[in-house]
Amino acid sequence: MTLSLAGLIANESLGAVSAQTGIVSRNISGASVQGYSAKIPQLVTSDHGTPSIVGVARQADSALLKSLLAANAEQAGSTAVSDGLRRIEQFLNVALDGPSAVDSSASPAAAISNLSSALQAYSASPNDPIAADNALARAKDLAKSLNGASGMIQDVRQQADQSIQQSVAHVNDVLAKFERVNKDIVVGMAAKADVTDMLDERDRLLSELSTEIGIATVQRPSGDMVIYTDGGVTLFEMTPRAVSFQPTPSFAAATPGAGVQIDGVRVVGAPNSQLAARSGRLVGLAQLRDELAPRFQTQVDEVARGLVQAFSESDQTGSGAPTLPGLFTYDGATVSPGPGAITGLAARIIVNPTVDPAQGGDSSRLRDGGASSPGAPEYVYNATGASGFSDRLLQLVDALAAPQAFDAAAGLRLQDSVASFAADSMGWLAAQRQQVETKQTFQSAVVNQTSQALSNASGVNLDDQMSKMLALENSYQASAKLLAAVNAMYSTLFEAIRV
Amino acid sequence: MTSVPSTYALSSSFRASLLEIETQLARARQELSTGRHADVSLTAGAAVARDVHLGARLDQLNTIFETNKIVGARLDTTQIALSSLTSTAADVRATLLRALSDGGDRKAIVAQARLALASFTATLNQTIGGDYVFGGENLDAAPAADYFAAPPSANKLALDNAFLSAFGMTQSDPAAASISAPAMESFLSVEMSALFSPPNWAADWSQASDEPLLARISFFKTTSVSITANDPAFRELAMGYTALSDLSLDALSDDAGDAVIRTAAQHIDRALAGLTKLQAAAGGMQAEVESANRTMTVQQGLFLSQIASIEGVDPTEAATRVNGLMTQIEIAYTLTAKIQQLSLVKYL
Repeated sequence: MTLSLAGLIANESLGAVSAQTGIVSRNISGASVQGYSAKIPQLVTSDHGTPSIVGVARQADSALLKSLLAANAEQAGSTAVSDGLRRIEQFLNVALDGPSAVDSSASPAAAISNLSSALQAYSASPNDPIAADNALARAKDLAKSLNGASGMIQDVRQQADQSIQQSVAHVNDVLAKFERVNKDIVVGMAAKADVTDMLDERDRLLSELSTEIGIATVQRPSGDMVIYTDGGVTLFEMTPRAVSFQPTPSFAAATPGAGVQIDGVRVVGAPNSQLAARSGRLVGLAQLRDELAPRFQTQVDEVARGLVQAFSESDQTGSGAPTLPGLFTYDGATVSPGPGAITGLAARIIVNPTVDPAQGGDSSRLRDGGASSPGAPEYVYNATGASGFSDRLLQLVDALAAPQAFDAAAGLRLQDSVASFAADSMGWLAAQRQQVETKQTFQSAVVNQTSQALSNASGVNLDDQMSKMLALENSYQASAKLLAAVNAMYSTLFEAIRV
Repeated sequence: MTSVPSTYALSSSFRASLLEIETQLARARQELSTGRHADVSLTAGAAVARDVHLGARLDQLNTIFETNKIVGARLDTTQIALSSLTSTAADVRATLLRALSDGGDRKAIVAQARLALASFTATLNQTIGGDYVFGGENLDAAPAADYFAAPPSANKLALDNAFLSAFGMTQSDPAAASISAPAMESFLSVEMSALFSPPNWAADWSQASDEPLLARISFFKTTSVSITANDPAFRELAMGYTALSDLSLDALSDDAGDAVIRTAAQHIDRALAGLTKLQAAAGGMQAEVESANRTMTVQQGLFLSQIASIEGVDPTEAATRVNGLMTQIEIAYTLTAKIQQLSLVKYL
């Protein structure tokens, strides 16, 4: 061991300490950045005992990252569904204030109840034109409520479709970034460069991607990463796969939405393929667009059809004339529709113009019949023309509460009154929303917990870094002292030689 | 080895839990002030169907209460009218019975009968809210025709014609004194009775329909809630009054006059019996409406309590929750402040 070697070691140690200080300060600056993992200097001691930094590693926990990716996907999916359902429900006003759920509500169920009340009031004063107009106004409200609900449902589908498009664009965008980062990592690792920040960035991109679609990843020895969807379709391998989607410009009840395809394989959208993705926002949006909203549409369609039927007018003379739509009708209606859902009927239902004075009709046809075909004696219920004839009105009130057959496609009771079918439909919507929101609350708790655990496992603790800094300071001081000592010894030596 | 919390996780977890508590606090406050769940459908789920259904039933119940008020007012008016008809008829009958024993003042009888007939018409033509109470289903036509209208109405003309063709003279003819008692009796029981038969009654006297008004007075009960002017009691009464007022009772011979009074008294007797039955019937309807109202009041309470059990929040529980959450927030604030102070940097 020579004096010059001691000087050399002290010198190199100074270098190592300042490099480590550099990493500590990097860690401190990244302490409050989400997804930043703490960097750890990798030190080796050379043959002659000099310490040097050969690389930088990072604290990472791939298992926790995996659970976070899964939780992200689940949460994003249920958020998409619950947002859509909440929009429909808010439109129907169920969740708003009021003494009772039906009072302040624009839902078809509440409108039916209002109409039934108005008809009951009209039946007690059959001679009162104000009562007739009131019943007519409630009937118009009901038709409007059904039209509105149908419009809202299709609007929610449209929005979901647009969100799918944005989501797909985002996926492609993230995949493009991913490709660059991934390539840099492979190159950097081959050159043994510091790739930790890029690894952080890659994890962040994965986390971003997982909210859109459920993913699984495989890391290869070269540092290269392959991404599959949770349904097993390759999303990225060396290069991104093309994720494509054709948005639908406008939605009506019968309009199907297009699916999301990866390399031509349908992964999202009805009908579900075997390779369909199982979680993520895209899946939630597709479920909303292709299953839940259309199901609710079928229900309001059935309410509309049930109403047309309940208010239909049958032959009163026994001449065998067909049963025709009465107070409620729709464009192109010929006879009163029998059982079986008519897609989109809720958007088409109107109050018959023959009953509406504003359109040249007569609101007393509610009481007397004849709304279906004015002037035809077959459909006149009030044969004597008595102004106190309340039988038909009472019949209509009964018809709203009388059981009739409903389409199984609505997923509700097959035999039900139109009033309670509409109420059940509201119940169905609330139950769906409750279910998905419960799931969402749970999933966001999981996301919070997991991201905290991941942050704890891989993130920076300031106190930890500060104590490391203290140790580095001491070691720097010691090395500097050592250098000064060596210097002093040389000085003493040279003094001695000169003498 | 216990994991060291990262500085980011520490601060973000406080933020997340504070936000969560504040959201809960906002909900609890709203629930406390409204007494309902902040988001009923989220809390109740599928039970919303029952909730909506109950709400609809409650609405209908309230409407039926309102319509029962209309029905009740109609029946009250009917009762008052019936009892006024009964008391007038009883007065006339008392006069007739006195006249049969002592001959009486026929001019006075005619005057009383004319007044009674006029009041009969007015009573039957009572309206409530523009609807004729005794019209049956014909709410907008006065059920009873005015016998004393000018120009004479169909009922008066019909009697005049019958009288003319039976006796060959008008009622005001002084020769009426020559009409014999048997001839008068036969006129009363045949020609004049025919004028008050249902078809002629409907043609000349009454615009009412035979069909009574129908009304739903509870969820399951639809019943007739009016008495129509076509009831036999009214026909009998009209016949009695008309015979007394317009057969020139004061000009007839004593025997023929007695025959008129006797026959009229018989008709009024039958009318009184009929009126009593009608009063009982109207009373029965009133009782039905009242009992329906009583049942519905019970139902109303049941529905309200069922709705409350789905939508409602126990205020004590909500208040406790608000207090608890506020304490929690305070603790969270204090802790956050303390932990922020806790840093190695301060000691270096």
